[in-house]
Amino acid sequence: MPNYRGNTNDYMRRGIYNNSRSYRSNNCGNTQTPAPYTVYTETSPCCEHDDELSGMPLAMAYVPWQNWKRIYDKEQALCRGTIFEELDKPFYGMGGCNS
Amino acid sequence: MSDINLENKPNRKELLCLINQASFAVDDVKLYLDTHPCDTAALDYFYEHSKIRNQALREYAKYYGPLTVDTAVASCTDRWNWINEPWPWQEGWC
Repeated sequence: MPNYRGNTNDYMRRGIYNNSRSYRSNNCGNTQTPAPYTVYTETSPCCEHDDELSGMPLAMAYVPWQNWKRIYDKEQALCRGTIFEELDKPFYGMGGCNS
Repeated sequence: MSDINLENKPNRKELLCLINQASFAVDDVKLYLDTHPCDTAALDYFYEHSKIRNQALREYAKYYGPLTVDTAVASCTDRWNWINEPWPWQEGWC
């Protein structure tokens, strides 16, 4: 599943967002609310240039055409929540932070 | 209920599980067919599992009471059985 999650540039999926999020005190001793996103620099791991979709227009979503294949039997389908083995994706349930 | 052969009475839990499985398969292939209306393999899958589901629903209604209003007539009694059977969530079934 090369386009499911493995090649994303979304650094939030790599745990950087949560790991670096911390509350700091400013010079007045008051707690500041952290910026919503970690500062994005060229040295961030998220800057890897391995995106299979590079060169394609930004902000365009797509759904590949599905073909009828690899169908679960009905017992397994109910258990897995889909009749299609191809759509049986892992569920992390961690808000996009898998670390 | 004179035409019911109690010797062939199906296991209730197994029959309900079969209904759940077939119903899910039908629901999922329906979504696929919405975008692939001419896919004959998917249509065959739909017909096969729809048939399994309908037969199981009629069988369940015959022995245990109707689960859907469409099979209420299959319960083969002179009284209204809709509320007699325990609801699925009352016995922890799937």
